[in-house]
This record gives sequence, structure tokens and C-alpha cells, in this order.
Amino acid sequence: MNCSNPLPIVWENYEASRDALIITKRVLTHDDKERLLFHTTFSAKDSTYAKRVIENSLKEVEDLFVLSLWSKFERFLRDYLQEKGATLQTTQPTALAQPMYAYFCDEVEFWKPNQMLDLLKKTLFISHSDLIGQAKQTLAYRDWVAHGKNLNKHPSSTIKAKFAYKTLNNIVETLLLN
Amino acid sequence: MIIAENEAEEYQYAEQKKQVYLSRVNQLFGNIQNWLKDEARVDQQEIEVTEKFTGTYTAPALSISTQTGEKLVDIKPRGVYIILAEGMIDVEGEFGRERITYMVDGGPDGCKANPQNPAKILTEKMFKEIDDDGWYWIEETLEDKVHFVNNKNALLEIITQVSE
Repeated sequence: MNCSNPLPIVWENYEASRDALIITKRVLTHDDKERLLFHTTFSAKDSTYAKRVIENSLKEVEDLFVLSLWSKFERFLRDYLQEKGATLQTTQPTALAQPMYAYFCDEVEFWKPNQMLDLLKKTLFISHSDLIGQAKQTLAYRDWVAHGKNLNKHPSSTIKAKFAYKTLNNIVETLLLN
Repeated sequence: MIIAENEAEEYQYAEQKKQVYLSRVNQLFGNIQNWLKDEARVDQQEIEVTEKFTGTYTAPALSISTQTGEKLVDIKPRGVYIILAEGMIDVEGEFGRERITYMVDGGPDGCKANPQNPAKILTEKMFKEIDDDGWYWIEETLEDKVHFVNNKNALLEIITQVSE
């Protein structure tokens, strides 16, 4: 296993998705819109309605990419911790080493995201607990999106995709140097 | 901004944070009306904002149009509780949406590993060019282009970015 940063590609995909919607919105008022919109869901729609659909989609896409950034970050954290635990394979007696490492890897898959963040907060990021706090707020927002955006139970903070990316990427880049 | 130790404490501070946020929004909106007084129509409305700790509250919002009535942008407060910032405002136009966020103390702290001793993690500002407290437009690009929204030109740049 060799961990690498999975987040820049997610950000690139977000930018492409967001900009594709923005371009489509511009097409709605283009002189050649009938040809450009041919055989898409927008070709038969009233342009005011289509504009509203695109604006709603822009909001939805941003939320979905916060979810995507978090899920890649969480996978990275588990892989990173499993890789760090590889020293268990040198445990003596050797008969214990491999099964113990395999057990550790299995267990890491079930660690709760907040537990992993607390582990980082108490160790490598002891003097940067704010950053871990921001990652926890991103997680809470991710949970809110993943559980249907309950309007009676708002998340503690609003998350802008760019700020989620900056926060999580900063943690990943720091871990990769360790 | 006051940092609460837990959620119960956050609920206690929420009203105070909301008032500070609204006063910063009002100050920016006052500036905007002043900057554009000879060039555009600026109409103020009220919108509702709902956040976990503050509940629902009323905030001012601006709608900016040309002198001939052609809509340029809507400027709408999003709330005080935003990661990495002390409040956010959306600027929405026909061509896109950008955000203005309130930054203090040079902006949020990030970190980086010391190349000589990676286990020693150093503090590094996440965004460059945030010198004074205030409203900043950080472009939605990877390059983190930062603009201090303290003058008319900075505002016009955002409006140009999101409107025709």
C-alpha cells in the first residue's frame, strides 16, 4: 500500500461539474441555443424553468462534492493508519505478527471517523486542534447531506466546497510528509 | 470571535455572534450603496437565514441592477457559522456565484510539516494576502486568488465575474 493524496482530482471533478452547469446556463440565452441544447433535458424546457433547475443543481453539486471530498478523505485516513500499523508485522513472536496486523487492519475499517480525528488531534495535530475541529464540522455537514438535509436539524456550520477542500487537503498533505 | 467549548456554550454565544455578523453585513452593504450610488440601482430587501445555533433571523439582502433596470446580481447573507471564516455572503448573477467571507487575524491557520523534522508541524496561513480584518472574496479556483472587498473596484470585479 502506498498512500497518495486523493483530493486534488475530486476538486478538479467538482470544478468541471460546476463549470459545465454554468456554461449550460449561459447557453440558455445563446443565439444558437436550439442546436447546442439538442437532445438534452433542457431542449424542451422553458428557459426560466431550466435556469432555476440549473441553479438548484449548482447548490446540490456543491453539497455532493463535500460528501465526495469527505469520503475520499476518510478512505485515505484508514489506508494511512493501516500503513502506519504495518510495523506490527515485525512483532515477536513472528507467529503473532501477521495475524495481529491483519486484525488491526480489519479493526481500522470500523473505527468511527470522529475517533480517527481525535487520534490525530491528540497526536500529530496537538497544536493545530482548530484544523481538526474544522474537519469535524465538515464531517457533520457531510452527515447532514448524506441523511437527506433535514431542515429541522441544521448542521453546525455551512460548508463551502472550497473551504472543505482546503481543510482536508491541508491535513492529508501534512500526514503524507510523516 | 468567541470560541465555545461545547454546543451548550455555543447556543449562549450565538446571539452575540449573530449581532456582530449582521453589523458587519450592514457595514459592507452601506459601503456598497455608497460605492454604486452614481452607477447602479441598489435595492435592499430582507431575507430569512436559518442556522443551527441562531435559529431563524432576518438579514438584509441587496439586489443590484443597472440604471436601466437590468438585473446584475443578488447579494445575500448566508450566515455566521462557516468553516474557516466568520460569516459568508453569496453574490449571485446570471453567470455564476461567488462568495465573500469575513476573515480575521490574517485568515485561518493551516499547517505544514517541517521538511527537516516532519513530526514537528508548523503553522502556516491558509490564504496569503489577508492583512486586515474584513470581507474577502476568495476566487473559486485552486490558485486562491484573494481580493479585499474594501473598495468599489473589488466589488465591480465580483459583479463582472458573475454577471453578463
